[in-house]
Amino acid sequence: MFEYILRSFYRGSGNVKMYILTIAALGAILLMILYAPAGYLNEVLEVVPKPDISISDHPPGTEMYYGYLNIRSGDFLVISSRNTSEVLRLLTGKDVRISKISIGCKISNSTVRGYLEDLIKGRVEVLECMDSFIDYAAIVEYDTFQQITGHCPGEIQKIYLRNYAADGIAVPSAYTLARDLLKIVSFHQNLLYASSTILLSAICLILGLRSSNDIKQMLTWLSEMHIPIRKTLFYICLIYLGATIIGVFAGYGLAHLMVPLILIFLKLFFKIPYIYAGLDISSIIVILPIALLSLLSYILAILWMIFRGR
Amino acid sequence: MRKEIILTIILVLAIFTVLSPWLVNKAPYIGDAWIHLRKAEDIVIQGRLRLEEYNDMWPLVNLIIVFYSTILGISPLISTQIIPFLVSLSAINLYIISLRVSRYKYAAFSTPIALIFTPLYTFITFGSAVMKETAAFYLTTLFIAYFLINRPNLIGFLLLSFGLVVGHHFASLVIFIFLLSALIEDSSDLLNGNAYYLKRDIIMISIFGALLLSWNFFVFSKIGWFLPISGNSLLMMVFTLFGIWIISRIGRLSSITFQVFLIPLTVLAWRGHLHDIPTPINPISIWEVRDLIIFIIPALIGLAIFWRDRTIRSISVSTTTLIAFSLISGLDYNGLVIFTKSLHYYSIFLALVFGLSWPLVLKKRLGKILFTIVSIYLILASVTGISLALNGPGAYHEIEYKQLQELRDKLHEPLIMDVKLSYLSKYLNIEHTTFHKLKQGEYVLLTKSNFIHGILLGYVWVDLSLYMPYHVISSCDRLFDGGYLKIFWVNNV
Repeated sequence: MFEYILRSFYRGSGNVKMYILTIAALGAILLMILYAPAGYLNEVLEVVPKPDISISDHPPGTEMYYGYLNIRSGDFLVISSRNTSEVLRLLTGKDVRISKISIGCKISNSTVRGYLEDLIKGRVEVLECMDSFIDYAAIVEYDTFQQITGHCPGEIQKIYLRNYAADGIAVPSAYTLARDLLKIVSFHQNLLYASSTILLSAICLILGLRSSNDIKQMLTWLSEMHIPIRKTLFYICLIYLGATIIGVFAGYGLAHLMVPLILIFLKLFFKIPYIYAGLDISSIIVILPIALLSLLSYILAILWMIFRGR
Repeated sequence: MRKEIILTIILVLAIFTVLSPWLVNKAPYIGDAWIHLRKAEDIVIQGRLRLEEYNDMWPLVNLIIVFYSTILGISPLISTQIIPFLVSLSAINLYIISLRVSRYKYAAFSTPIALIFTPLYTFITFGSAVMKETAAFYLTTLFIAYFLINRPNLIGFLLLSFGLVVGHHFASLVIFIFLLSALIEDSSDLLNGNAYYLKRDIIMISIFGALLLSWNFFVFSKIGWFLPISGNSLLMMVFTLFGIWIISRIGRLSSITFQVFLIPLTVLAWRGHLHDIPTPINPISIWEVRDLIIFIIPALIGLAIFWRDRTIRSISVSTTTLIAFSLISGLDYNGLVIFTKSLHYYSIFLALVFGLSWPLVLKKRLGKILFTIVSIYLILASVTGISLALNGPGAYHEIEYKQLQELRDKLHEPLIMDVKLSYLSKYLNIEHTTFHKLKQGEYVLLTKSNFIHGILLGYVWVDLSLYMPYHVISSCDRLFDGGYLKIFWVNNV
């Protein structure tokens, strides 16, 4: 019986095939509008080198203290600041969550860890590996640093770290330009997302209504064949749910195909450097609201027809 | 009788086209030939097949060389040419596929002609080579032709599938995607009340898929993960397939529009205008663009006419998926590798739809005359491609092989050479290293193509002057100068 109902709904003007194509095409359009520019700029950020930090003996900038301190017969690099998270961000380019005392992953089993844990009478956090000198350093807050320097000999340096691009010394680099553009795009993305979803869902609804005559005819046909109404409704829901899932995946596939191809054409015609901006699989979530609204509009229309008919 | 004569002429043309590098240069085409030649000789000497490294894992090519060398009593070097010969037999398979779809014999004749003399030159550049891919090419076309039989024989199908699976992983992937596309078409047909092929195709894809998985799992257990196929790539390929299928399903116009955009990209990528990899290919000329237009327009017409045909749609969706995937997966080294492999299968699709445009033309007055003119035009236009291949960077010459063989016993120091020559040196057991910054007292082996095309480093071609500027070459001692091959002793860098 399921196969029979599926076949009935597969034919005609308002068929399941058309429904899948509509969701796929509209979903792909939405993904392309939303993610192509943002994805491209994100890729640019990965490719373009970040501006260097500048180091100075004088302010302005974030002050940083460092030195090789002799801790339990071994020399260890200790870094400190009144704002350790900002220092770490400047040194690594990443926003790393940091506790009062942290040590690099490569010295997690060394004597320095034991010493620091004894000092604070607690556990020391080990940072994730960054493939840099941070992996071999201890990063501590300024008050703890003063305590350590009181016990451990070693020469201390004080410097100021500045974000080269942010303090206006350098002309805007490609990196900062892409980052700023990404911020603008992200800001408009939400607005665009809401408006596109409403617009595309309305199109889905109109297409759904267009097919109402066909659906009505099929429902009459099914009722004439004495197929119980509950079963009919259940199977119809199942068919459209399946079609929605197929449509969502096909829409992602379409966008996943079209975005890089369009970027290649942009490279050819406008000499815009091509950076692969393939869509992440998680972006499929974006299509779900349109798909669910379409599903809802179809199911509601069908329910309306069934119950009005009774 | 006339049909047989035309088909024989086409077959002879196909054989001569793919064997032309061997007939002219008297040496195998593309460096992979030397690897497989060595493998085949090892099998003959040891009397057993060893599955140890990448080039052993798809042993069809090595076994074919051994088989023909043994039963015909010829040297393995000569028997390598059985591989291009088998590729030429694909012309018959293309004829069968085209005849089956169009049921029009003239259209069927034009399909193999389009494949042999495609202005993409894939038949000569790919078909002439002795590679795993080419060994599997004949089976790929045979598989598609076999697929069109209503009730294929199970044993025949099993043999064919196994041959493909041990032939090459990419060829098997092409067929798997083709079967998957056919299955999607079947599901669609089922909803229209036609379940004629569904059961058969499910059995086919299950058998083929099981063989494919088992063999590649075995390969994986032996050598680990192999490029260019990875888990992420396969997932991306599935989504690309979905996308292409949707485009083909929206309508005739969307299918053709997509191809109109994809074909120029393919052409540009083929001639090195798209990927970020330097290749020594000449830029595409205006005359070649003209040849391509003459080829592509009928192909698009053919696609428009036979768009609804399930076989054509399956071939279109599967081959387009691969070529589109190769482009969207990145314009880097990996993208170029997948693109080069995919192009050969994409040209099967283009040749098929080209052939399928002719039933429409042939019904008109002067249709047969036009058909003959276009066929002759394609043959003449492909001369450019043939000459490019004969003197191209992938061509080896008998003199290189012979001279290096003679020099082998006199060489006591490792020679510096590019990847192209290293294939031949590896075969001849000559100690060598790849190009690096030259130091005084090192020996460099160069061939004529290094001066014309540059040095091959992996997939990248660089100019010879990058390693050996003119003043370095002129200061070197020329220890050997054999026309093609030259050995230099670095004096002053």
